[in-house]
Amino acid sequence: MSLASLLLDAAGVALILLGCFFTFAGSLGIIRFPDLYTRLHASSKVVTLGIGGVAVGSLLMGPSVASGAKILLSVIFLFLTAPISSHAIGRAGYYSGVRMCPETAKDDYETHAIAEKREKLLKARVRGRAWLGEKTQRDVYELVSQRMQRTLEVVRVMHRAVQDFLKGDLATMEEEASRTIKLENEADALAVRALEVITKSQLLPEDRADLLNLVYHIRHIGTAAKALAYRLELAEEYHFPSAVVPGLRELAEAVAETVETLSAAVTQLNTDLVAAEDLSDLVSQLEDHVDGLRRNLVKRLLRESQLLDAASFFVVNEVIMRLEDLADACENTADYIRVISVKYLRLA
Amino acid sequence: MIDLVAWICLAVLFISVSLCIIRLARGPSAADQLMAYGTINSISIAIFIILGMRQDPVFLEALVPLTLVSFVAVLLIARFLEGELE
Repeated sequence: MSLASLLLDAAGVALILLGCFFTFAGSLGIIRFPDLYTRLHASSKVVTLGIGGVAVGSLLMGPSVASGAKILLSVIFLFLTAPISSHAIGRAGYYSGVRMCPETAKDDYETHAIAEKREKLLKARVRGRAWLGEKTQRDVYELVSQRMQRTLEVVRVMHRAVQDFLKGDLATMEEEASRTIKLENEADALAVRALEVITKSQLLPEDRADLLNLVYHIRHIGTAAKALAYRLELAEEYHFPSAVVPGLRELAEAVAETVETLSAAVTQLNTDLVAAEDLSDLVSQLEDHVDGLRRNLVKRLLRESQLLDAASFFVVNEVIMRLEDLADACENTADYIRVISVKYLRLA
Repeated sequence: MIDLVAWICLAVLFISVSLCIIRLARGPSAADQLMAYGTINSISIAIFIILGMRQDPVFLEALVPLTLVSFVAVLLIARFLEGELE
């Protein structure tokens, strides 16, 4: 072995070791630096330099022509492409709203047209983002949404039945109560179909779970409405305390409004998640309102309880409880909608 | 002697890759993960060079395709994150 090749080997080993050291230092920077833009320095400059060192060191150690050509070519490509790809990553980070760490933040684009474009892109992304994008997903969602619309109809009919009950128009009430039950059974067939489609279609486990939960929650609302209708059918002869009538009417109205708002939230779920979240918040507020109304109503009912026979007390109490159940089911659904929208709104 | 150096280098490079994998798992943004992915690809080029020199020249065959594919992948994913591809 000649002195020259020995020296070349030594130089090659030194360069390779140096290159490995730089690569390691760059990786350390990727872990330790505070934000994306500083980490990009480590990734694009230091690691690329380290790999260049390893490659040149290997070339000095005298590989065959074929091997050397491959190493040289790949390193040339790496040096050409590394700046382009790190520029693309930085640009993607900036446009998708990655924040700078406060110690290094100096945004030269602040007064530039690019910052405006960024704001516009971010706003469009956060406001307009929908939950499910693909066609199969949207078809399933369509079924779920239809189920919600049906539930809304059921609750409307039920609301009318409660009002007739309060007016004392028992014949109409009975008819409407049985219509509520019939409508709800029809609507439930839709839910069963939705469950079937969810089970069979090609969905991610995550989306499948979300859709299933949503269907189950919406189903609870319908079930609560049906239970209320059954209770109303029971009420044939009754002696009604007039003092609770306005309170009960108000309660029924508040519950119906809650369901209307919830239905709007479900409709927004696939067009605008932020709007869906706002509507869900509104549903929670309405549910609190319903709770307050119910407390007052129960207080008044207990005060009047001497005037009532057991059967009437039972029916009125049951109606109040079922209305409360309905509102609770609405709130659970609203909570789940909030879970979905928070899950898919990381940028907000 | 040279074998020892090669093993040390491989160990250091693997540690670097694992650091990048930590960043890949942690995020926090998708752009961070993309950067970690690109860096892992670059480091694996160095690993392949060393393996190709010491073990078997067949490792060197992968170098050029790896570089190019990694470049195209990073570029496309970055475009997607920008919101221009939907």
